[in-house]
Amino acid sequence: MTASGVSESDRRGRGVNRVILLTVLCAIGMTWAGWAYDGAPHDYVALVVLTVLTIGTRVSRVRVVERVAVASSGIVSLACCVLVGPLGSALMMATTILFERGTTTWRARLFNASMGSIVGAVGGLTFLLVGGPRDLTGVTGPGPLMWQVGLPFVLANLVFSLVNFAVIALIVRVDSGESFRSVFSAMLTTSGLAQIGYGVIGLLFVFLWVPANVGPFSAVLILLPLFVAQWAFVQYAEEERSHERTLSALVTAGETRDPYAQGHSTRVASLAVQLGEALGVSPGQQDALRYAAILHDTGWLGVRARATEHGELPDQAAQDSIRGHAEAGVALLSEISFLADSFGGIRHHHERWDGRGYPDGLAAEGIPLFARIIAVADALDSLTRATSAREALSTEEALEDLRDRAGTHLDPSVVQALSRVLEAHAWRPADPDVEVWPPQWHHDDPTLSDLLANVTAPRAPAASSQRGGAA
Amino acid sequence: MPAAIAALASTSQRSWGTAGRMIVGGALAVALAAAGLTVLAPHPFLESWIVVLAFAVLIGVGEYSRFRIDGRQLAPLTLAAGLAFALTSTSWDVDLSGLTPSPVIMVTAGAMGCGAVLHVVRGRTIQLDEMAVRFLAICVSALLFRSIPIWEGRTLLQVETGWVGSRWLIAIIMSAVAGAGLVTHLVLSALVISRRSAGGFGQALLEELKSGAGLGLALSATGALIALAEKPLGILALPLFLVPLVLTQFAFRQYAAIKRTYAQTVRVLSRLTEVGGFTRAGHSDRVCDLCVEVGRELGLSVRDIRNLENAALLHDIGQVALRAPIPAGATLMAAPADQRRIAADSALIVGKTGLPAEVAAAVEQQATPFRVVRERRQHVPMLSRIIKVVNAYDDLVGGSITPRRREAAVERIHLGLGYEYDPRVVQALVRVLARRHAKTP
Repeated sequence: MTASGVSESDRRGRGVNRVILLTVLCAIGMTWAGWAYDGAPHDYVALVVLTVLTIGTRVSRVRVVERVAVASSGIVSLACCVLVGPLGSALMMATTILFERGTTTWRARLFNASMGSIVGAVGGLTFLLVGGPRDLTGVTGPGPLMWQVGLPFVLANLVFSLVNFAVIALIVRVDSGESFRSVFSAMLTTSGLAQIGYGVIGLLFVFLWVPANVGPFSAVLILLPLFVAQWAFVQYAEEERSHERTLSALVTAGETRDPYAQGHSTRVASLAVQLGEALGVSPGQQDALRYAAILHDTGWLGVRARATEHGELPDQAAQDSIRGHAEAGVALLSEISFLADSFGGIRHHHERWDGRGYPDGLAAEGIPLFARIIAVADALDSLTRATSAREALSTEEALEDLRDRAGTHLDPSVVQALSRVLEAHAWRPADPDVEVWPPQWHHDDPTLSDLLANVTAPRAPAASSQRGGAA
Repeated sequence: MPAAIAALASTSQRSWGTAGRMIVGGALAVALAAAGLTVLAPHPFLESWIVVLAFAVLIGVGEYSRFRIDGRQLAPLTLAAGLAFALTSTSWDVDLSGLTPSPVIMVTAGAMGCGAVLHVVRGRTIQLDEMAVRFLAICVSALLFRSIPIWEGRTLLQVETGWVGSRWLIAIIMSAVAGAGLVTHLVLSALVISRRSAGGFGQALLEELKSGAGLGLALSATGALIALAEKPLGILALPLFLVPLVLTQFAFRQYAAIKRTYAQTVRVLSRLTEVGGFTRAGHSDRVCDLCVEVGRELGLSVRDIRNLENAALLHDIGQVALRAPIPAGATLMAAPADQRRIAADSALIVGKTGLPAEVAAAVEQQATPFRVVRERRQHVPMLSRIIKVVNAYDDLVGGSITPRRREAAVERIHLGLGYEYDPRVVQALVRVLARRHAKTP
């Protein structure tokens, strides 16, 4: 909750200092108000236990504990507002924040601690003002507990969070000039949900502590399941990272096979994602597009590559393997269920707008959008790269060439999007010093697409016959 | 409902060992006995039907929302709700302190059966042995808490009902009783699993402890939590206090899902060489299966087995870099320098997969002959030695299944014993092959 407070790299400014001073004064004022309204902390044992617990999670260096620290401090501070009262929770918040790691300047600590005591006192006061009981021992039964404790608790949580977000938005506003409203609403949508969750668990904490009469031991019972959940989330994140890397292993396998393709997948993928953004592909589908673009040539691993002379139509066998690679890619990857949305893009990335491409001879809008995007990115990468038969085209020349192809080979709207994207992001072609394509055709060369388009090829069988010896 | 369980027995497709059969049988007997006792000595538990129904629903939902992780089936909600049921004495204005264990056990069995029936109706398989383990864990806690006089001649339930003052000690006792149920769960699971690996019961128990202790602690805490919070909150405590556990279950399910897709990707990688025509069809899969069996025979840990599995699947992937395939993809016939290059290329690609470093290391050393271990005292990972032997065997057998071909292959490997191949691994392979082909001559 104090994460986006002040950090060291902040610009010095009188505005910031003034806000910090204001926060400190407010903190002193709110703490006094809490004391004046409610008097001494309700329960010193609870105050000490909760303080020690929060400091414990804050100073721990165990990774899972570190992540729980944020959650547990949210839960514990809410519970503290109710169990100990406004004065106690203001003190507890101020003390524990001093132990926070990551913020080292005294100004940052001072600000965060003041903010903590403001929200602590405000939370505690709200609970009492809306009718929450000072002493929970008499309250029992589902009805009374929900109405007399649950409802005030929810309201206290609401005010607690809003004040917290507002103070943070204020300091960000003064410090970096971002608008108060945008920071505030961003926090509401990102941290707001987590805060509701903390609220529910904080309430359980309160119920267990007083009405169920378990006392400090509640902390163990409540936080244990949270630690385990967090552990599983950490495992999940690690596994997901490794999984992303597996895809790069597929690409590496392809590049080990064909050194001339080095970097091709990555370049095509980053351009395809930019094109996707320009064409309004939804964020949820962007991953599928990226996977399709990274893996679009995987099929070459399953098709025997054959050398063919540049400038002439390749022999039948080579034609077959070229026509087969897109399908072979899908066949290879078909077992990976999360790639299901990417298969269209992989299978059809050599279709042509005029319907004379391969493997299925789809035309115009009949070709999946991902495939049309990859086709354009693929062609640009091929043209801006030298082969021993021709020089590499400059980006402008290549774009000119692609514009001529719009409507025959490529989708005009994607080519149009390409011009826009290239204005915004410079295209980085393959490094010309590494290696030059050998004098054979490379299957991505757009001229080859024209040559093949003029041959009436048998569609489906040509592809399946070449899917590799072992299939 | 025990009859329902009996009817379901035929739907489980896995064959269990003696331990598994005994556990399932035991669970059935306990469920039947509980049902009998409930009917013979009718208890007015129907008066508290709302509470009983609430628990039954949660137990059933838990059974329905089970998920798999690492080949194990988990249903944390069932366990937590069942344990809480076993530990409940008062649910606000409903007094359950007179409830004996038998109705608790009977209702649990019925609810679990209903959840399982839903699975069967939807065409999914159920695993009776894992269900039985869960069920018995709940039974142990119920008996321990409700009917065994542990505390100066009184049951813990009686102690709890008569307790005045702060209840932290009660919380600890309840957690411990729930914990005892989960220890039962751990031990019985280990019994079931130990049959699947050669590591024996001790090792299986250790693995269970490592992988299940965290979730077990969370479950025993949640079971105690609900039972404690029910006193002031009534059945409202059930949905409220299951929130943290639902979070846990969600995290575990996500973890399981990503693990599965990861496994799929590795499988696809392993097939690249076959589809490209570099290796014979099924080579990676066969080597993988046999490696895992040999690894178990040698008593490797679960972690090692998992690494061995992945390393064996990917051991030939470096062949995709070859200009022309080597004959039948058999690295055994390739020159030693080529073997090493393929191994190095494979390790390079495996290094990119995000699999543990041990996997890449195992792949890299797969061509190293055993003599360097003896002569130069060089460290060659056990996983590499296993892959070397099994890969050679599969190359020699060449996908053939005739006994003569098998014998010839083993004979040929024996020629390289101690020089090329680790004798311990070869012995394990011979034992595994003998077992395998004793069943299917």
